[in-house]
Formats: sequence, structure tokens, C-alpha cells
Amino acid sequence: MTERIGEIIETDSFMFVAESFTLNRPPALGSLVKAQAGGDTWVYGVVAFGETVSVDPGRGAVRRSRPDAYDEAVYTRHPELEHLLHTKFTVIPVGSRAGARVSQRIPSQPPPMHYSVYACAPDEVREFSERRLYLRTLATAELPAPVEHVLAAHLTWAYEQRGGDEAWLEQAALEVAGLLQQDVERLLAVLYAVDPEA
Amino acid sequence: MDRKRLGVVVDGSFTAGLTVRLDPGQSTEDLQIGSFMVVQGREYTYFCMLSDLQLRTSDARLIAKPPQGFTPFVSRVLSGSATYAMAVVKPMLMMPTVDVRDDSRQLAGQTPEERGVMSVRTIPMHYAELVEATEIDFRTVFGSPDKPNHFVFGQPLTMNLPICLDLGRFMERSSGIFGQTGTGKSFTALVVLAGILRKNVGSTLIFDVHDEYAYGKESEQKKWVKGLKHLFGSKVLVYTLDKAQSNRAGRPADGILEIGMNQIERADVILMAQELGLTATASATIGLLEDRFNERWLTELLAMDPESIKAFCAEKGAHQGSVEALQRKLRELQRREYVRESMNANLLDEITLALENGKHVILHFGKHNSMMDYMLVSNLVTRYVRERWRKRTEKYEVSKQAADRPRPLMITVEEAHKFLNPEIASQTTFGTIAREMRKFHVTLMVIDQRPSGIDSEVLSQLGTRISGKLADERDIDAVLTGVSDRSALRNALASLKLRQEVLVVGHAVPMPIQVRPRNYDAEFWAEVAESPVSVAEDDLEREKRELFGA
Ligand SMILES: Nc1ncnc2c1ncn2[C@@H]1O[C@H](COP(=O)(O)OP(=O)(O)O)[C@@H](O)[C@H]1O
Ligand SMILES: [Mg+2]
Repeated sequence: MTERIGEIIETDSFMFVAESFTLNRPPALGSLVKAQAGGDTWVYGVVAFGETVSVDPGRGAVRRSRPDAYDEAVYTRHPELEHLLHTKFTVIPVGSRAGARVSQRIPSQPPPMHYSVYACAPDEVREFSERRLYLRTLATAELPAPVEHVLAAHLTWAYEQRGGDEAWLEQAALEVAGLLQQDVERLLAVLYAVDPEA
Repeated sequence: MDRKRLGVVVDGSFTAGLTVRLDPGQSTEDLQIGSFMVVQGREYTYFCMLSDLQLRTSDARLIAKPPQGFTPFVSRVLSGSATYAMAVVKPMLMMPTVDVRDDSRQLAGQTPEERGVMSVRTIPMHYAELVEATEIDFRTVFGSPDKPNHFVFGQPLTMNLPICLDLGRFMERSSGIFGQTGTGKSFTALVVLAGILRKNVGSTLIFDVHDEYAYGKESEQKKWVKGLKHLFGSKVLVYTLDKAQSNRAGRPADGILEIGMNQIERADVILMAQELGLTATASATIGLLEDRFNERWLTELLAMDPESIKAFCAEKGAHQGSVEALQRKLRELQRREYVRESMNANLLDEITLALENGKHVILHFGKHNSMMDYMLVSNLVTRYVRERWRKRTEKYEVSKQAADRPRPLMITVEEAHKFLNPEIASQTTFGTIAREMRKFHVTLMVIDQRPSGIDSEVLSQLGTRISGKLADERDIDAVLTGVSDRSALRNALASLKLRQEVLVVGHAVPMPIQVRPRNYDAEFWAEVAESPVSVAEDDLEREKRELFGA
């Protein structure tokens, strides 16, 4: 079992938001995560956004550093920040697992509120990304960030998780090229970002 | 048999052809315009010709501002997605897909028709696959070397397997061999003629003005090639106009051809109007002379003194100046070494009889190879021979006896535009033969480097066209006069190499195809020759030495 990394605090059919267990350290943009959906069913999703904000939306963060104490030292001096701030990440569901069966369809149910989000181990990433239909789901989803950045981040991340699998990267890039062929600027942004030869 | 997939059909129409999106990674540079390809539909498999390749982009910005400096990775991904290629293929024949799945079924039967190949009546749906043609596909459509009249003419440009001509159908209608000078028209004609002689499909009469068919010639590789007389011996009779040439070693002639002034008709002279510098009144003047003197008109004209010209003009109402001018110009004919005052028809009868009896006749011009000699003799002989075939045909139509059935005759003419240009095609025997199709079992094989000089009505009657590379648009148009799928074929023609590559369209092939004609070489000679000929290199060299004293 992989590491629990967060707890769901917003959820609907097409995206869920989880609070990260480590402040300022949401899972990598573009990474594949999975949410517990009861029993042995899981929802797979791609991290499309991460942020750290004030817990109380009415009270924004203010400056805490001093000339002799900044960055990490701010947190040492203000342990209460752990409670005033939280780190959230947004996940776009792109598939699911029931027992051994992996599907790349959007799950029929959103993952339950307050359930856990886990990181995926490289083997699981490899298994899930073997087919690449989910890239279409991701590219056409309503994203909290520009699609080219999310796709680029995911391709680069998965390429590394797959141990530098160039063949996979090229096929995935071709798939993305098909999806974005009407919008060359976006497509080129992805290609330049993922290019292993660059 | 597995075929390499090239792309999928995404658009198209029956008339314009199918538009195929090439698969990512499939380079246009691996495909050749005019090549033979296969589209696999659900019910039918379509045999097609690649007629166009097009580059496309999905986003106009890629055209306006081509991205620069990308790595091979990016360009690999872009090509086949945002930048991609389309192929246009023209289906020409089709066959039930169930038969194509099974090699033995696909090759069953002797002819394409027997195998279930039919002309296209429909088109496949979206996403039918375009695949490379396999050897079996080629054999299905083009290869039947075992059929009686089928002759291996060459091979596809990209593969080494036989493409056959149905010589029976080839001879049934007039045909043309075209191409710029040096593309291999004469060599191609030699291959076809050797096939006709070998397969005994009919008789041929060849006007060998450039001295290449009877005794061969030196190729541009400085090799001396065999002529039809060498290959077929007594089956081929050579009549020469050039006495001096007739008994040279290695160039046996069967007779000397002479013609009498009494055999020259108005049409023969008018045909040479340009060469002789005749004016527009010449035809009318000759008419008056013929009225008065019948077939002796030329002899009489040339014998007239000023007084008798005056008398003739007074009697017939001819213009004196015209008669004088005509007389002056036609002296040119009299001066020809092979023109006699008067000849009976024995020699022409001999030639015609030989043709009727299944021999082949080559008229050899030797040193008398000016356009004037060529036109005069060819038209005269052809007129005589056709007349005989016409009579034979009429007799056959009455008797309906198989024995009376005229043997198919094909007349080969180089420089065909001389006889078939729009101004004179309606008056020459060649024009008549081309237009009346195979009514009298006589057809032409016209050879020309400038087909646009040939009357379009004649061109549209051609059953089979074999064309090498042509540069001039008008010539390309001319070759494809009266042919369907012109735009596809036009591209196929334009993409041929300069030498020994031809497009074959029409009667003698199931569908148009680009072919590399067989090498006309020792191997070929050994295969077609009737009597075993010695084709050893040193033998040819010896002949050449004897000929040229080299
Ligand atoms: N089928 C062929 N076999 C051998 N050589 C060929 C063939 N076709 C063309 N060639 C080469 O091309 C040259 C030109 O061919 P030729 O028939 O004389 O051209 P054209 O009659 O069109 O002017 C020949 O001398 C020969 O070297
Ligand atoms: Mg020639």
C-alpha cells in the first residue's frame, strides 16, 4: 500500500479537491493519484492544480519574515501557521479500479468526502498508463489550469515513473498532438516541455 | 497475405477518387505517384492508382509561421498529427474481399475476370484501409503469362514480377506508343512487336524509316541490338528501297521495293504538300490531270512540254501557272532512285500475299529515309494493302467461312503525326484506318514523340496507349484524349522517369499501370526468337564491324 497523502474536502463527478497532509507540499502537478471509493474500488485521477491558502477565507496570509528570520525560519518561529494555513490539490478523475479491473472511464460515482487520497507506485502508473485513452478525458476536462501545462506535466512525470520510456512518451505525445491539433500554440507548448531531446 | 498499412480513407467520391489520411510515420517520399495500391473495404477490395499526394496542416498558424528549430522528437510528433499527408487514390477495379483474404482464391482462374475482378461500381466507406499492393495483387490483375495471347511486357516500377499485355486485344484496335525522344519508344515497340510475332497474334507491316526494326540498331549504351529479321528469320520479309544495302552481311533483304509513277495517286502527293512546297491549287490541278490521263497522270504531266501544257489547260480549263509549278515540283518524285516510270502490281501483291499468309513485312528505307520517301511509300503501300483487306473482309462477310476471315493486320508507323495531323488525317489511308477502327481487321500502331500533332479524332480511337515521359502539357493531354480518369493518369504520366518507364492505358491491360518495359537484350531475344539465334556478344560485334568497317 502506498502513502496516504491527503483527504478529500470537495468532491463532484468531474473533479475533487483534497487537503494535503504536508503543508506546502501537494503531490506533483500532473501526477497520478488514487482516491479510496469504498471497499476495493478506487478512483484514479491526475493532479491538475495545487495551492496553499489561509484556512479562514476571510483572513488572508500576511508577511511573517524578518531580516534575520525568513523562509524555513518563519515556520519555526510561528508553529501556529500549521493550523492557519493548508495546502490543497485538485484532481481530475480519469479512471477507476475495481479489484483487479482497471478502467479508463470516468467513474460513475465521485469519491466520498473525507476519504483518503494515495500516491500511486511506479508499477501502478505503468499499468494504468499502458492505454492512453485517459489523455483525451484529461485534455477535454474543465481544468483549473491551462490544459497544455497539465498535459505537459503529466507526460513528463509519467515518462519518468515509467523509467524514461521514450516509446511511450512519443506515442502519448502523438495522442496529445491529435487532441490539440487545432491549436498549435498549445500543442507546441506541450511538445517543447516534454521533449526528452531538448 | 499481410499488406503493409499506409493510411485510412477519410473522404472522397466515386468521380474524384478516395482521400486517404496517411498514417503517422508514413512518409510521402516512400510513395510514388502512379503506383498500384489496394484499398480494403468491407465487401470489396479495390485496386487503385495513386494519383496525388497532398500536405496538410490542421492549423493555419503552422503555415503562416512555421515553428523553427525543433528537435527530431517534435518534428516526428508533428508529422502525422498537426502536419500530415493525404493521398488520393483512384479505384479502377474491385474484387470481393472474401476472395482477397485467401491467396489461392485470389489467384484462381486465368484472367482477372475469371478471378472475380470487376470494374468499380462503388466506393468503400470511411476508414477503409489503404495498403501496399502485394505480389499476389499484381498477379491477380496483371499477370497471366500462360494465356495464349498474353505476353510479358515488363514489370511494375517497384517490383520484379510480370506485367502482361493482352496482345489479341492490343491488335484489335489501333494503338499508340508515345514519349519524348529517347524515352524508349522504338525499344518498347520492338518488345511489343517481338511479342506479336512470337505469339502469332496477327500479321504486321512495319515502315522502318529510322532503320531499327529490321536489323536492329545501336543503343545509346553503344550495344548493337538484334532486329526482328535476326530473331524471326523467314517469318519476316524485308523489302528495301535501297538497292545498295540489300546484300550486306547480317542484313538479308527479301526483295527490292520499287514503285511506278502509275501507282502514285493524288492523295499520296497531297500528303507531301508541305515537303514538296505545293500550293492550295495543286489538289484541283491533279484532279484535272487524273480526269484526263487516269493513272498515267504523273507520267503524262512530267512529259509535257510548254505547248502540251497550254493545250491541256485550254482543254480542261486548268491554270497554266499551276500546272507548270506542279510539274516542276513533282520532278522531285521522278528523281527518286526507286521510282520507275511504270510498275505492275506484282510486287505489292507479293507483299500483301505474304501478310495474308501470316508473314510479317518490314519496309526498309536505307538511304532513302527523307520524310518525303517515307510518306510517299508508306501511304502508297498502306493504301494498297488496306484495299486488299477491305476486299477480303467483304468476301468474308458474304461467305462467313472461317477460312476467309482476314488475318488481323497491324501497321507500324513512326513519326505518325506526318500522316495523322489534323490537316491531312482525313485524307490519308492511315487516317482512314485509324477512324474505321477494326472494321477491316487492319489497325495501326502509331509511334510519335509529339502526340499533340495527331488529329484528336484519331487519338480518341486508340485502344491501347503506351506512353513514356512527356514534358509538354499538350502532348500529355493528347495521349489521354478520350480516356477516363484523366487527372489521375496525367500525374502518373508526369512522374515517369526519362527512360524505359511507361504508362500503359487501355484495351490491352485490365487497368492503367506504370511499367518498366522488358530489356530488349540477349536474354529477351533468346526467349522470343523462333529459330535459335546466336546472340553472343562477339557475334554482334562482328556484324557491326562488317557493317561499318569499324
Ligand atoms: N526496353 C529497353 N531495353 C533496352 N534498352 C532500352 C529500352 N528502352 C529504352 N532503352 C534505352 O533507351 C535508349 C533510347 O530508346 P529509343 O527506343 O531509341 O527511344 P525513342 O525511340 O523514344 O527515341 C535506347 O538506345 C536504349 O539504350
Ligand atoms: Mg525511336
